[in-house]
Amino acid sequence: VRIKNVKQTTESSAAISDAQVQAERFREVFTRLKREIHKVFVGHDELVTNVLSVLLSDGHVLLEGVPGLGKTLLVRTLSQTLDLTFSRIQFTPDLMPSDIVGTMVLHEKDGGGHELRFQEGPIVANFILADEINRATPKTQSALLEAMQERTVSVSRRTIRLPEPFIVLATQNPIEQDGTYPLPEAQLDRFMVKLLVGYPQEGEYHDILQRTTETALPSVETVSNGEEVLAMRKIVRSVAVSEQVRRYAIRLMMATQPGSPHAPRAVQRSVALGSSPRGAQGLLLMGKVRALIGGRFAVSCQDLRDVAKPVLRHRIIFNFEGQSERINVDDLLDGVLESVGELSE
Amino acid sequence: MSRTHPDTAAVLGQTRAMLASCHRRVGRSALAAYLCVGLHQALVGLTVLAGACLLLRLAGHVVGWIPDVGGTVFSLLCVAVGVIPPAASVLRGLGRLPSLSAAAERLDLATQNHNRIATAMYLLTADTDSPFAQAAVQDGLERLRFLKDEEPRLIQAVWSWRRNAALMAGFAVMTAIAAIVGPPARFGKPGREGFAGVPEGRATPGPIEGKDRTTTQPVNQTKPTSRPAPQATLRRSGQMRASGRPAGREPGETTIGQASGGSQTHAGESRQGAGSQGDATDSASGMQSEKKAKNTVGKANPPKTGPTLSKASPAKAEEASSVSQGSGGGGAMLAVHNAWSQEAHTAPDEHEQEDADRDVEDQKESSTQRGGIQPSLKDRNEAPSRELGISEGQGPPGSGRGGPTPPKKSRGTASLVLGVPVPDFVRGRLAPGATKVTHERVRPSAMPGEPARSGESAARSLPENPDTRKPVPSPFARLVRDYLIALHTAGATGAGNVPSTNGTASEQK
Repeated sequence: VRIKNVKQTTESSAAISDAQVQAERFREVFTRLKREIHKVFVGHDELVTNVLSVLLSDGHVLLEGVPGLGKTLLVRTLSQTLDLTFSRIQFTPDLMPSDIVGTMVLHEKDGGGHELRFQEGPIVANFILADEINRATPKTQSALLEAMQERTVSVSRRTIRLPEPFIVLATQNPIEQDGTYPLPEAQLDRFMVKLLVGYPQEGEYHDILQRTTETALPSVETVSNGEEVLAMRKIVRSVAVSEQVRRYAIRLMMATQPGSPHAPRAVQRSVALGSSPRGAQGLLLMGKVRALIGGRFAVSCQDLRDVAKPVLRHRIIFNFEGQSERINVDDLLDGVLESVGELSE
Repeated sequence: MSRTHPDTAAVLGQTRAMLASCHRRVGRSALAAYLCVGLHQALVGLTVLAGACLLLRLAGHVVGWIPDVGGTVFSLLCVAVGVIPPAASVLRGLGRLPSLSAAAERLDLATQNHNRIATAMYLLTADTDSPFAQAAVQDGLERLRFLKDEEPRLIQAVWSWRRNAALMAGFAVMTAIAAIVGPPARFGKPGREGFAGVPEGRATPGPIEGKDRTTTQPVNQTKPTSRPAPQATLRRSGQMRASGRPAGREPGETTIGQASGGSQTHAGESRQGAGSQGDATDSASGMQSEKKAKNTVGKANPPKTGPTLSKASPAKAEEASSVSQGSGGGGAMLAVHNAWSQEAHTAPDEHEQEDADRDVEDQKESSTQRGGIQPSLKDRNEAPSRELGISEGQGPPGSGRGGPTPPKKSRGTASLVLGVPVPDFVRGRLAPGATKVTHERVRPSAMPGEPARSGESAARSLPENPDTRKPVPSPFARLVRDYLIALHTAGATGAGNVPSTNGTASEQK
């Protein structure tokens, strides 16, 4: 028994040290990625952290901000730091689904004659930048549904497996809503987070002007690759979650649903549709990345609170009362976070 | 047991030992919270008790027969109300003491520890052996060694000095007032614990005290005074006016067992029909029949019956009274007075009146039938009989026994075929009767007249469209511009209210 105990203790110590090494490696790569991105993309540290967290949580990002704030630059820079294929699709009202997923094209054979060949669309890449996604029709927007959820694309009888890691980063403009097609709820729900890109601070403008208007433009180095990203995703899923934290995530999600016993009065009054279970999944996965960044091996309730707004804000649909009172969804989520306690009893 | 750590039991024991102090503190705070709740409940109960005692005493002084709570009983009740809720609350708290995990959560919360200790506690008992779980357990235990003496987030007791002081003051004031007021004067035999019993020999207070109170029975003393229903009172007053005395009773006559006050008349009304004089010893049946009589009178008599009867002669009043005396099983007589039944005998021309009313209604209906396009939806004529009885027109009309019947209604597709005689049943149509549509084959022939000439078509004016839109007059244009600017400004800044242009419009005008 003693030998067995000693063996178990040794194994346990090895496992713990292995976990510590993995977590340390994760933190190191994460920090390097952020540093490289910040060479080009100035400021918005929280935004970059969230985008990287989604990348490592196997999710998709919806970026919302006015033009000129560097949304596209951020995505392009991220793809450069990871040495992954990058596709940019400019969504317009006349864009068709076949323009995204690909279509059969008539090819002339070398020896004469013709044949139909499948021409892959731009969606077959690691990084997809869906620029101004709300300008395309819902039919075209829906072409992304299967790709985002199943990581496959079906064209006629052909099903194409998309390369891993695969991430869609969509942007939309909060103004100029005329002639746009708001994303349907099913599409919105597939984005793990919705991040708001705001204006930089005054000090950050100096850096932006300095880096973009002088002769020497900043260059980005590749600090990681697709395989490492996949390995980091596995590490994220290994992070432990206690019963208390899991219950807290569930209550947070339920507190956004009108009719739920955990929902505060503001939600009951002004929300028509709350978060789906994908919201709780997103909370835990993003929380796990936060825990790893914070040097911990288990998720805490504070981690969930940190990511609650990006994860839940686009999953809440207001009813008429909420819309007429122009309730800010972030203010509503502040109330939700206040109302849900983290104690089990 | 957990596979997280090789020696889980030992580690769990160490964790419990380190958390013991924190657990005790949390448990004590939980008990204190429960005690506060119990004390508050006791204070509320005491205040209510004092208020009830005071009210009883005041009511006893006013009425004179409500039992009073004596000092001993009050003290015993106070002790019970003051001790039982706190004790029960503490017992409840002892049964729901926070667990060790709850203590760990509260320690994490107080020290901003990212749930490390509670997570370690959970993972120690959970069935997981991942390296990250083991690392998390180790991390949590290390934290616990540092933080075991820290103050956890205690359970906050809900205790409001202001509210409870107000309750205590209320209790004291009401008790003092009750003591000053003192118990009411006792009548008759006092109770054992200070209850003042109902005085003997005291007549039941009632609104009518007069000659009817010559003989009283103890049964009627315990019954509170019942007031007569307004309609019954009205009837009685009418009868009194008509005969100068209560109906069905001789002047100066005393009925044995009839209650004093207003209830005697109803009892008499209900019992006279049954031929009984209301046995005084059978108090229960007397009460029931009294209630029945009340209900019957209240339901059967419409409000205008009273005045009608009061205008009738004394003989008619007696007759009506006798009609209404059948509730006690008076043979074939009606149980209650029914004005309609009276009218049925006294109005022989009722059918004529009903026919006249129907005619008037039919005329009204025919005027709402859109000139006969819409058939009458309320045809009162009874359906014609389909029986082919032969009685040579001698039977009653419409009864199917050979009498004259109205023309049968045509139904089905036959009525839709042109050329089939269709009896006209549509009311309000001119010249009702059988109609017939005939078809005639006629060859087309040229009509005399001038041939149509073609002429030059001139450009006609189109309805208003964006091209032909008239310009908005300048004052209105400015008004519209101001409104749109305000609208867009409100939209951009997120302000919900769009300024009204009413004031501006009036100024422009």
